[in-house]
Amino acid sequence: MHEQLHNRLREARLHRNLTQAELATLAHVSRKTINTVENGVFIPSTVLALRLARALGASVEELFQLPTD
Amino acid sequence: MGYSKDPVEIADRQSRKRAILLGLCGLAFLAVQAMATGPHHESGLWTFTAVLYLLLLATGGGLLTRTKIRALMNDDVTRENHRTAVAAGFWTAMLTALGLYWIPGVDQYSARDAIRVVVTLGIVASLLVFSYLELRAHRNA
Repeated sequence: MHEQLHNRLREARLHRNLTQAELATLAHVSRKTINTVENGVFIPSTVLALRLARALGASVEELFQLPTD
Repeated sequence: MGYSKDPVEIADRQSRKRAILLGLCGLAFLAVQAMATGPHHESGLWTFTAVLYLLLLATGGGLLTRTKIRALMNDDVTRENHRTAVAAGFWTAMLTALGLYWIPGVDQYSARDAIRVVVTLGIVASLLVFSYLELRAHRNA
């Protein structure tokens, strides 16, 4: 998980019974983008975060949070 | 074996292939240059190869690929990886140039030879870093 951004993308995807490929298709991105965001390797841009949130029917804040001090 | 026609799957396969191919190209380019002998060994072929790799780095290749597939192959993560790879190539070229300038014993290199070493190592670093970052992005996907 990236130290600057916590995300619950994997949990949200699995909760909806979606594979990485299915979520990638819904969000119009590649599977490696889903993979790197889930693994905290890549911090998504605002547009990508909004796309993922829309694809999962969630808010951006549900998927991504700043770490609490 | 049948392959999926889903654009995400196609982009995934082609992206992996590109990462492996560019990594192999980088290693081959380095190996050929390391084995090259003589002051201006095959400079025409070297120039052609260097320009070809620079074009591949600039465009990401796949110019004949469908627009939608290409967009998926070159999405946010790949653009970030590309930026990192090009920066790595730049710093490798700069450090190589400084090394050639300051390290004793290499001042017998001609300007052409020095340029060749700097350009080769810059390109190889970019290709290898891009390949590594892309394959890492695909890992466990």
